[in-house]
Amino acid sequence: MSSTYYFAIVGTNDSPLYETELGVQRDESKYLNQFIVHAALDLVDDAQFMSTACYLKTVDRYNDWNVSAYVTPSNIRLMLLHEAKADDAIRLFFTDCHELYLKTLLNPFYEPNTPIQSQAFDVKVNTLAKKYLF
Amino acid sequence: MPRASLAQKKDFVTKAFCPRILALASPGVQDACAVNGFDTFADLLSPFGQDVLTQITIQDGQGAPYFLDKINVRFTTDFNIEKLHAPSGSDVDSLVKTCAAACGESGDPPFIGSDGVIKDVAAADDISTWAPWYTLFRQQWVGDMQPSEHETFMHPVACMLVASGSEADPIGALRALQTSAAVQRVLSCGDGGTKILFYYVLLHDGRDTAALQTIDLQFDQVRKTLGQNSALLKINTNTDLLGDADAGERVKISSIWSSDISATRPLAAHPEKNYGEMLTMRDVAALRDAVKLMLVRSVVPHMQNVIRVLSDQTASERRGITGRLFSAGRRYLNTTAKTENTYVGNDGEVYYRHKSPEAMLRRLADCSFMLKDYRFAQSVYQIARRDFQSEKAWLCYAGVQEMIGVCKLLWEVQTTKAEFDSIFDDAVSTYVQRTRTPRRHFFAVRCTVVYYELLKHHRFYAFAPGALLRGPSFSASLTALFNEQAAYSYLKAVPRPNVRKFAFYAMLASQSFQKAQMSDLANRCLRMVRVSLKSRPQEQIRADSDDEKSHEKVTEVKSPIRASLDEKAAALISPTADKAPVDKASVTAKTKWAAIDSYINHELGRQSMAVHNFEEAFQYFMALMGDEKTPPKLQSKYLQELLQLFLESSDQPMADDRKQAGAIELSIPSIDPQLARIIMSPELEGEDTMLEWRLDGSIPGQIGGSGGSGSQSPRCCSVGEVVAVLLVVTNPLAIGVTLSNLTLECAFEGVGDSTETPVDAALDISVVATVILEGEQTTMVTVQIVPRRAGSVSILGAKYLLCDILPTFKSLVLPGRRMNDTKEQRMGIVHTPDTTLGFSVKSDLPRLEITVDDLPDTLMSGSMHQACLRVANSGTLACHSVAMWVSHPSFVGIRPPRLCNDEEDGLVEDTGMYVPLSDVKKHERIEVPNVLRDYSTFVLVGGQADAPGASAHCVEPLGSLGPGEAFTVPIWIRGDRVGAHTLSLCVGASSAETSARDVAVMRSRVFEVDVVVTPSLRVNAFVRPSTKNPRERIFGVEVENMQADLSVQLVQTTFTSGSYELVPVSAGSGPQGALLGPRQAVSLVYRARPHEPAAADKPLECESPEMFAVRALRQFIYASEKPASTPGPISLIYSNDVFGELGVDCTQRPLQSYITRSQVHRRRNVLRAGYPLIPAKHHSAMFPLFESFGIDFVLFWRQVGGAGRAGHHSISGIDLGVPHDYLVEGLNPPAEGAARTWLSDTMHDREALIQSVASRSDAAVRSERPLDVAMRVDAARGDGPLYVADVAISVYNHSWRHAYRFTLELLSPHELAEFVADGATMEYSGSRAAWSWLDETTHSTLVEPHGMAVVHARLACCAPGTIDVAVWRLQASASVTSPGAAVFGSKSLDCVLYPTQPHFVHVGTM
Repeated sequence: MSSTYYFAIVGTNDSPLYETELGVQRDESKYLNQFIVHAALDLVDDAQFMSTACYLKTVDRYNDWNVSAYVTPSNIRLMLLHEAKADDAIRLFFTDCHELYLKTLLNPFYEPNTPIQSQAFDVKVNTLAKKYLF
Repeated sequence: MPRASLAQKKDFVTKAFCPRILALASPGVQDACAVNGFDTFADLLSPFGQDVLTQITIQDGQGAPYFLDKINVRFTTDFNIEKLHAPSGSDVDSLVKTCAAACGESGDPPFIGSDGVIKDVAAADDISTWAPWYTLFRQQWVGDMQPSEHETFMHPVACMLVASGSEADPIGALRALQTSAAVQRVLSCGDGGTKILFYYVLLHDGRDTAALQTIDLQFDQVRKTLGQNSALLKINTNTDLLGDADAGERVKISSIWSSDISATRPLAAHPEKNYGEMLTMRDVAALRDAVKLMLVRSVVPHMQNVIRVLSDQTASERRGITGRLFSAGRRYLNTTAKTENTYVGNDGEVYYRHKSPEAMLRRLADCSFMLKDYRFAQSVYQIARRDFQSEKAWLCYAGVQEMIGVCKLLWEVQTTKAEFDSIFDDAVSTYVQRTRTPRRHFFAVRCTVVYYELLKHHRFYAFAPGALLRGPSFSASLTALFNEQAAYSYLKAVPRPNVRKFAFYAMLASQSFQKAQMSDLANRCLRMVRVSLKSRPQEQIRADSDDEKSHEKVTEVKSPIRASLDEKAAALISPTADKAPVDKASVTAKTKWAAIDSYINHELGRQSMAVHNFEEAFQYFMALMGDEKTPPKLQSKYLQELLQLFLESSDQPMADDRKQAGAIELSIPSIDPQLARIIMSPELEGEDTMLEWRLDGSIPGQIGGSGGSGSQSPRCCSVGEVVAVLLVVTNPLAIGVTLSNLTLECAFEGVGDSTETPVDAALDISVVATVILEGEQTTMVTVQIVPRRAGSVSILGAKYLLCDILPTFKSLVLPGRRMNDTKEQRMGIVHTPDTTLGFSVKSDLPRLEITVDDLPDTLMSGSMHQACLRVANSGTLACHSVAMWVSHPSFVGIRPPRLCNDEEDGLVEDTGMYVPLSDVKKHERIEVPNVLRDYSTFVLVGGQADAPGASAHCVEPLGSLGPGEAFTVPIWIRGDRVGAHTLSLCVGASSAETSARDVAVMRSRVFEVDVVVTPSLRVNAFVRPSTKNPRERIFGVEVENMQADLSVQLVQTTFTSGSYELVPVSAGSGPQGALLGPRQAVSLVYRARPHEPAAADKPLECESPEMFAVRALRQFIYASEKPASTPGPISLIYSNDVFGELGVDCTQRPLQSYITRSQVHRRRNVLRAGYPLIPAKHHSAMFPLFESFGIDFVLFWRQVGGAGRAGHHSISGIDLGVPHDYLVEGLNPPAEGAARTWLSDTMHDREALIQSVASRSDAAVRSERPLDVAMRVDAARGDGPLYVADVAISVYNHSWRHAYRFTLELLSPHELAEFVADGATMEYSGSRAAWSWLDETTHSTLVEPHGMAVVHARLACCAPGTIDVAVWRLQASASVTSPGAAVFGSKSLDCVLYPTQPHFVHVGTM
């Protein structure tokens, strides 16, 4: 199944720590992806108190796009913009990405809540996306 | 804004669906209206239909009483159901534009503050004031409602017929009105069961005073003729037009209508005219009373009657299962029922005939709704809905769905919760998707608007965005309006405003407004987005404030000079900042979502450009360019637009400020300041920098010494010197760009100048005319700076014209190293000032042209190559100190520097390294210094002579180097070790005189050359005892030619030793074995014997090197002062073996220094590995270079054919003296002179050192034999059965240190097995029974160091033949000569020796 995903990790101050487009890259819709995910943060703020789980499932919808979210205990938001619904795969993807993020946090040279520049992180996220989403 | 509060939300719905009364007037009435400014009588009555206080109790559809507080009615003048009102998309667009235009200039809504959304205001403020055009729009939209077949709201419930008393026959006029076309159309829409109400009004015009007398009579006639539903109305009683005493009353009366018109028809053109000129307040009261009387007495009762009748008629439909069954039965069993009740209208929709039960149900429900009986109305709507759905009358179905939703929200909102949302959703989707009428969009929008108004009334803002976004999207402006309202609804969300959602939908609204060409509102929405994105969570604000604090700290650590430079840079970047402070951050979007920022800035920039606001547009586009994450395609697009903007703005007079401002800062192309390099003397090779020279052999290092790898020494140059700045310019775009007139912007601070020197006068900066950059290309650009005055130069940035159009400035200022010294620095982010892109200009700096020529790439191991260092003083100052440091001292040897004369052009003839001599002495004794000094630093100019104790190596240095003078230094490079090496050469120069020991900062040039050393010969050496002479050792050398194609001619071997001389085992073996073909090997064997000094040789009076080391070690450990004296010279014996006719004199200095450096290299490595606890700086004072009993071996060779290279291989430090652990004696405390007190740390260090040396002594014991035994057997005497022979057994002590006491046991051959200890083997090859020792077989004696003892014995043999007499055992123990009870001494000095080789003797006559 070929599809387009937009994945972002949002820090506690609402700024993106990491973002990537998975699948087909479309330059023209980059701002729309960011807008949709950014707007969905409002709903994540509401939804995270309704559930004890980290994975909040689909929190928002805009036209054909769904936004799934995953909130870590330190209030880092993992957001995925996607068309097709695949709750289990997305949950696994989020869980593994959370683990990746934790490993990044362990890096003494990484200052928390700052953008993640690591290419290794990028490669691993893409690998996880291929594993779970495509 | 009066129009904004046109109607309350709930009232808006009830007013929209209020009863209509058809008001028809006779021509005589028109005149009475016209004098008051009204076109029709309906206009006159219009204000009095609003909020009429009825306050009566009426019965609902099921007979239950309820209180009707007030009611609204509207008066219409016509009724035509055939008139279709179907607005198209363009109609809607124009309507929205009209609404927006009517509202005038639109400022930011009140909740938008300077720092984001003010949440308190957003929560408290009324949403309708934020977008007044929407309020106008919804009023106009609902006001435009037209009668429709599927609903009866616009159908008049009564007809008001008005005639004037002035007319001749008012009754006739009323009757004529009753038969008018409009009335007929109303009647045609009736269901037949109920009649339309006619209400007759006789109007008396106060101006007609004549009729005043008869009006009452006329009214009586009317009432008698037409019934009780009639009224008399007297108006126009203000006949005194000339008086202006009641002007206030006039205004008050006129405002009654003007305010009503602005409320009900906001967009209608209403010229400024005074309404009610002829009316008095009494007339107004009469009008109000008349309308109220009509409603209370006639209209409401009539409607109740209609409800009752319809209720009865539709009872079977509404009541229970029976009615439903009957209805179903009729529907399914009677096939004609469907066709009788429904028809298909002109628009293709299915409608019900007026007399059908379904139409009556709808009429019943609508009437109930208009009388505010929402509960009953809802139940009837729900009944009707089932029928409409089953009949697929979708317009009717959607209509009742809409009304059911409205009813639910109007009366049972608390119980149904979200049910209404799905009902409205169904209604809108049915309108849009299932109906085919051209008016479906109208109804869908009406439904959405009504629903949204009711949600606002109940504060159900959570449903509002969904409702609005479901609305039809046939018009961009409508979508924009709905999106904007949806955005506002998000701001009203509880418990806190959803600002991010607001931003998103405001952005969508902006897009739609832009599409509808309403750029003002689009711009307003985008501005709201930009500002609202500044609203941040609390923790972010805290984090950012921390950042700001840390930035403040950065400025704290800035030096004053740097701060002034930064000010200049800031002034350069925005020279207009003082004149007109423009807060860039307040204009451009600056979230951390790059694409969002880019989009907002781009859109706002384009919009600003469209309205010719170039100043603001520039800021937006510059912010766009500052984002490096923007995809290249977008960047190229932005660049094109920016260039376009610049061209357009340059035509405008307002751009003058910008022209004066000069450059703007852009991110393209990117010039990385970290990759920018300053290159001093760019025409020469090597790196020019200021380094600190210690002249003790250590590498010249950074000034201060503690700088990490990232720090750099300050760069200095002299006045007039060329400095190149290398910039790496990268084009991130996919398209090519051109940079022209590229130059640098620098800051200059003069030395000692009280007045500030202008940069132009102090520096000549070159300009690069054109740099063409293809897409994604990286290129290097060099800009040259020539300083004219002494001072410090700092590079601030690069200036250029982008695409020949745009003057651009690129800052190259970086933050320095992050500091980590104090708590504040660790908790914050503090940087030192950056000095990477700066250099200082000094007037007293030497200016030398230093070149190194002929550096080799490849060398054969052992071979020599000559390079040349040339140093010319091109400055105006004399240079008094020049030094050179090499990283591989064992590779490099230099000759003394020579001044160049102009005639010789600097070339120096060098006779070569090898000085062949035809007569090389076999043995030669030379006295050489024995100091382990460093040979990596050479003083070329200015140092003292090569004095003992000097740290740096002086090679006959020059006194000074005057201006214009030059000297050359031949450098011989030898491939010392096989492999790839990077040789570093550093030449430092200083104008000041420095002594050899000083630490000096010198201007240095560092050369680095990669050399690969290939193997040529492999040389192995071995040592073994000699059987003939116990004093001698056999020294073997195996030489293998590793080259595949070239032969090697061995020239000479030279052995150097303090106490041995070496002679070839077989004389004359050289010439045969001297030529080595490819891959051939040869063995050379030498006999090493102790040198017997000739009588003429005067022995050296200084102590031996070994004793010096022991003493120095003891002093190092126990004395309070570290050893400082160096060992004295050593007398070395050179043993030469020349293979050919020409030999090499290796006592000459160049060769001697090579051999010495190789020895130094080996010694240093050995000492560093063996004694890691002794600092390297003490090595030269503790250990000698040569040991007395070591042998150094050098093999000279020359290639046959090929390049004819010559070279030499050497093996250093072959030690023949035993024992090797003499140093442990230095660990014993001295008898006197030891320091008495020690610090505990010093104690620990000393203990550790002692342990390490002692343990090394244990490990270093070799399996050498300190004693060698030789036997000499005289000829056997005697004849007959017994032969007797004397045997002289000599025992030689090789040890230079210890005397040995030994016991020699001569063993009988047949007892051999008993004597040999377990584990030892003794091979015996002779006949065991044939012979035996005579006399005493055990001898014990002492043998001195390097001494020999001879033991005499006898043997007897019983038969002639050959016997092996090497049957003995030697037990030796050293007699320790050191005084006192030594704690430490040489280990394993006792040994037991057995013969290693047989010694055959012939007995008897052979």
